[in-house]
Amino acid sequence: MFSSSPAAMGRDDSPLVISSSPEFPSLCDLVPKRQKQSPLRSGSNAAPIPAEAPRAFTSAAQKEEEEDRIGRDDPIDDANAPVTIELSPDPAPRTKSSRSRAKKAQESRPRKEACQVPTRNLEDSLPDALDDAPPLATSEDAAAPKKRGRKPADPATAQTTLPKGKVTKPGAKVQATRKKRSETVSRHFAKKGSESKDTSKPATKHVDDEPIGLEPAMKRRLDWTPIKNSTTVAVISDSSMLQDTSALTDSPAWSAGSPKQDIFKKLHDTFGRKSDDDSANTSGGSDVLGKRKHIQMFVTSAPPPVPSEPAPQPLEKSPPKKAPKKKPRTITELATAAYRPEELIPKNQGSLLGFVAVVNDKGEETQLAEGSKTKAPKKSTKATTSKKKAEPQKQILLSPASALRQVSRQDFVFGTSSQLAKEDDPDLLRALHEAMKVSNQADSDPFASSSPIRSEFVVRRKTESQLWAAGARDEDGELLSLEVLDLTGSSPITQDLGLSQKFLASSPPLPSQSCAPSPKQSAAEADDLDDEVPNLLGLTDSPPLANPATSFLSAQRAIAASPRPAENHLSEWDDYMPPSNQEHHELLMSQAKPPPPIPKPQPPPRPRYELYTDAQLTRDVAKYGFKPVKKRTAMIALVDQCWASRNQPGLSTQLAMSTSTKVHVASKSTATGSPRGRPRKNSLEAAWGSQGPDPLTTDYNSLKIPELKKLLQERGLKVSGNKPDLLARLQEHDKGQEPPAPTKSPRSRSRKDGAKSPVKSPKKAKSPSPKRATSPWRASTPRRRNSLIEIQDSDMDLDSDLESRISSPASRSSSRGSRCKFRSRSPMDLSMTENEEADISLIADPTTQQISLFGFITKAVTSAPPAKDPSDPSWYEKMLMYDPIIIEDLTEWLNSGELGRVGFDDGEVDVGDVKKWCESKSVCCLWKVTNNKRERKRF
Amino acid sequence: MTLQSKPIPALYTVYILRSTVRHSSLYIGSTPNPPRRLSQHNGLVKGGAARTSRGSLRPWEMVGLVSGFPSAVAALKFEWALNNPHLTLHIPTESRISVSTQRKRSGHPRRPRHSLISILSNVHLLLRVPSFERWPLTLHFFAPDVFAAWQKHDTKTDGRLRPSLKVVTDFSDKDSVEGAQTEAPGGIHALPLDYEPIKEFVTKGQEVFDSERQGDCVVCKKTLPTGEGLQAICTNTGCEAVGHLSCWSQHMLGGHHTDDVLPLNGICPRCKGEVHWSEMMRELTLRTRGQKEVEKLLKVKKRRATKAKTQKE
Repeated sequence: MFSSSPAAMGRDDSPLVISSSPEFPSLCDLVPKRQKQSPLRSGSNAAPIPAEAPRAFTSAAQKEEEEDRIGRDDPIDDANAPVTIELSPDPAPRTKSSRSRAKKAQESRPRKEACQVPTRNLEDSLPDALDDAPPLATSEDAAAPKKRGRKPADPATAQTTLPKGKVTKPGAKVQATRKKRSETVSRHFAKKGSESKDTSKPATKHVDDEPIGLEPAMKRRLDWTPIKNSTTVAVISDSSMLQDTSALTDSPAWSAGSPKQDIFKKLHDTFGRKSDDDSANTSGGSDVLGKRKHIQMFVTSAPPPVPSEPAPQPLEKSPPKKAPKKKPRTITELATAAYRPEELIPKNQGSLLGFVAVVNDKGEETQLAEGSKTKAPKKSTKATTSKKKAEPQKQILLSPASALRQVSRQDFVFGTSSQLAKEDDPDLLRALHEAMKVSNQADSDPFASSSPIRSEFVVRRKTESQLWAAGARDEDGELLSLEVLDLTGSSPITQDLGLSQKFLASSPPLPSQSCAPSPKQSAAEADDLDDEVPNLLGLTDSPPLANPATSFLSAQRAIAASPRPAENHLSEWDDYMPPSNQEHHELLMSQAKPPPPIPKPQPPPRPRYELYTDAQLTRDVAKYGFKPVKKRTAMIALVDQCWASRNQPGLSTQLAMSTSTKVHVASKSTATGSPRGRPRKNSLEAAWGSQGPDPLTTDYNSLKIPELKKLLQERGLKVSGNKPDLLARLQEHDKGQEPPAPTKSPRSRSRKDGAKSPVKSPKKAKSPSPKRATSPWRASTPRRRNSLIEIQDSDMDLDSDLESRISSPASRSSSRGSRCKFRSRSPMDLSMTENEEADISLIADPTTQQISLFGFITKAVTSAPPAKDPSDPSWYEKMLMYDPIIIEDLTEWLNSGELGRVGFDDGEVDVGDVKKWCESKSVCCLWKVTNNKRERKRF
Repeated sequence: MTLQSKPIPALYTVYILRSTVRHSSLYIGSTPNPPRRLSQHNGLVKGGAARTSRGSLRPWEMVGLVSGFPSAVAALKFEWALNNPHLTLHIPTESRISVSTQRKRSGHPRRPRHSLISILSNVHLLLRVPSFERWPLTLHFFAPDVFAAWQKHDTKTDGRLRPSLKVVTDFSDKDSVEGAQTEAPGGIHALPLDYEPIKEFVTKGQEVFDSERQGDCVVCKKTLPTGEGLQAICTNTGCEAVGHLSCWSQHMLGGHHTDDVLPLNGICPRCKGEVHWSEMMRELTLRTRGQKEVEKLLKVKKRRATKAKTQKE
């Protein structure tokens, strides 16, 4: 207790002491009062009395007896009995004394202790006063001295015995001198170590202690608290990507450092009212404990507010009693620090707002120049307001984006597992990425600025499935802008596909279908479009909502009005368009308007799969490389998802292979006459099923085109004219255009690389055709989910990735399976809610190839020679004995030549297939790794 | 295999627990010792599940269970599948009965609430699913109403259980267990918790292989070297037909090569008696991997020999 009290003094600094000083008399008053209380208590406590009662009631006799027993003790007991009680409760000994002594004593003492704490201090300073006080107490207790005398007498005797014997507990029960010693010791301890107890003891004690002169302890305490605060603040500042101005201000204040006292003074000044209140409370209040608690509260509160003082959160500081809450805040602050600054800092918002406003102005101007509609400006104003509201959201998104950017800086290679697997050299991918970055960096800035705006759109408009796309954007800081571009570009792609098909002349009807629906459906299918592409939706549906890009709105309006019909005439405009596009790009680049034009690309008309016949649906499903699905609803859902996934994120992928791939694409595109070119992400899937969509996507992969188109769309027909231009022209335009919009291109390229690489050699790669065939669609389902998100280390084993993905979700355990996969899956699962059933069903049914593979596995397993060692049975014997089979081990065994022995020459088996085989045979199978990521040691 | 293999457990079950107070409160668990587990659920022994800890729902009763799991892993897999019929991949989508309609805060689909019908229907489904179809499982019912519901569902459902799958009912009152002796226990208390039921079979196997009387493989007629390879012996009393494990399996699967890997049951070529593969494997694994269990069983046998004989008699 004592030790703690001085410590508290140290903390409180001068102001508190000052406040406490007036309290002195009150404390003195308190001491006698409590002594008075103690007799009352003793009198009230009837029950405890009987235990010792027989001895006690004859007080005189007892005293005599006691005197006979021990000469010293009796006087001590009489005179010091109260004193002993008071002193004995010294911090350490409390428990001991309470235990040893009678219940009455316990009850009375703690109360006394609490009340008398100041008296103790006084006693310490002036031992004589203590001696004087106790006799007074005894005299007061005259009515019931016996009880007390006895109770204290017991401890006193114990104490006496203790010193004599020196064996029993020393510290707790010692005579007055020893008590004093213990007190001193306790103080030292308190000075050095006891911080926890400090809070418990009131400022009044501090007042007492000050004369003693424990200043060094004071300083230490001061040091302690500020250090804590400073650390927290520093952490916050570090953690937050965007440092709060407040935090910055705080940090310098702390750095000023030496003037800690100043800080405390400031604190006291701010909390001066509080201190006054405290003093008043202490003086007036009879319950010391309650007062102390209050005081403690204030004391603790004072340090935490210091960090917050600067500017941002004065309100929080003001409530003094919130101190305990603030501590938790510090913890949460650390976690949420990154987000706070964005919300709190007005400056950043202002900057963003300014940027947005510029965009808006430009957009308005553009609209006016376009002479679109008088309504446009009104809408633009609305959009600005909405933008302002949306901005905080943007900022929120930005912080993770920045984190993602850091992640992107790391050596991640982006692409589907198959892509990565096919391209053995991660270096190639990396080199491509680097080249992309280099080319993009110059132009990246405008896009980066634009990205937040778009992200806002996404956040708002995307409620359900589109949230997924938003997440995908977040992954790569760069990708955010690119993705937006993709969305815009997606629409042109589909149109382009139709055009390309026309160009190819492979199937005249197909182009007609593709083109025809787009104009017709554009208005009617707005809803569908909304679902598919949030940006597009925002543009088309609610111009006022569309925040930043009024230009978008105007463009879309223009699109809705004129451009789509113009699409039919695209072929006519082809010649004119290319140059115009380039010019527009240049203009855009110079103006830094690129963001608005990007979203403009005509929203891809989403085919109404609901209206399709089953045959058409099955054809589309097959087009995406999926096994035929029985249920019509499942097919619709599947195709929808494939289409959406391609149109939203996939656009970016196209650019990657631009030149070489484009040529291939052109050749391929001729072969495939798919009316709907939604190939993008699903390119892998498509590759498995039909490569047709891929070429189309590659042609349009150059997203820059969409930008151009947007610009063109502003002009209307020209944009449409570009579309009719077939792949070659588009590519040419793209090439010319690529430099202007480099930032987006790298991302798109990377994706394209991934997508195309699998396409090129899907079946050639490791797995045998049947295996692959089985695996691909399995893999495709997860990929669809992951589509954008999948990020893998180049270092990762490509094979393992494929395996893990192919394998059922339960396959997490697969040893090779990278954890990244699992991570990616969790988000995927969230996004995938709609089509899960379809996916599962796809997984459930073994394909014919799988069946043949299963036959080989069965044969390999059953035909293996039996083991000669009973303790090491063969795989088949294990199965026969119902042993759980480790899938990875069995797969390894099968791939070690056993399958080849049986005649299976398509390469190696996949873990997922082995798992399916086991389950189809009622063989109990397990992954090697448990859910805890540990290798299984026992069944 | 680095993993330490154990003999097939004497008993491992996945049980359906129902509150006798509120019949809609159900719980699915797995245990190798149903009586002990039930007492845990009822709070008589330490270790009950939190879900069954509410006093107002006690006592609980096991209204049905699936026994015969060849390993704890198998039982746990089945238990999980039965507890998560909306998620398990063992159930193909087309036949999935339970569908999750809600999602947890984590985004994972929320498990649909159990009902007796849903559990029974999913048990029925899981017993037909390829993953568990050929496991040597047995279905037990200890409550007439539950069995009635099962029968109703069984007749109503398109899918047919494998004919060899045993469905056992025992509606005898559990209180009978408290009779003077352990004789004639009912319900879950009648389930064999140890290898006692195959003690005779195990003894026969021990004797045959200790005395190296295995002779030639009953299927391939080749000589069976002592201590080499896994050799299974006929489960039927008095028949000492021994054969290679693979030979037995081929024989039991039928000469014609089916795609099946695991045999279910067949006819011993020597004694022409029916042989259950799981029983044969239980003895084989016990003999090859569970010498401790065998010794324990044999010791127990000596003590309880008289009791066992009296029971049989």
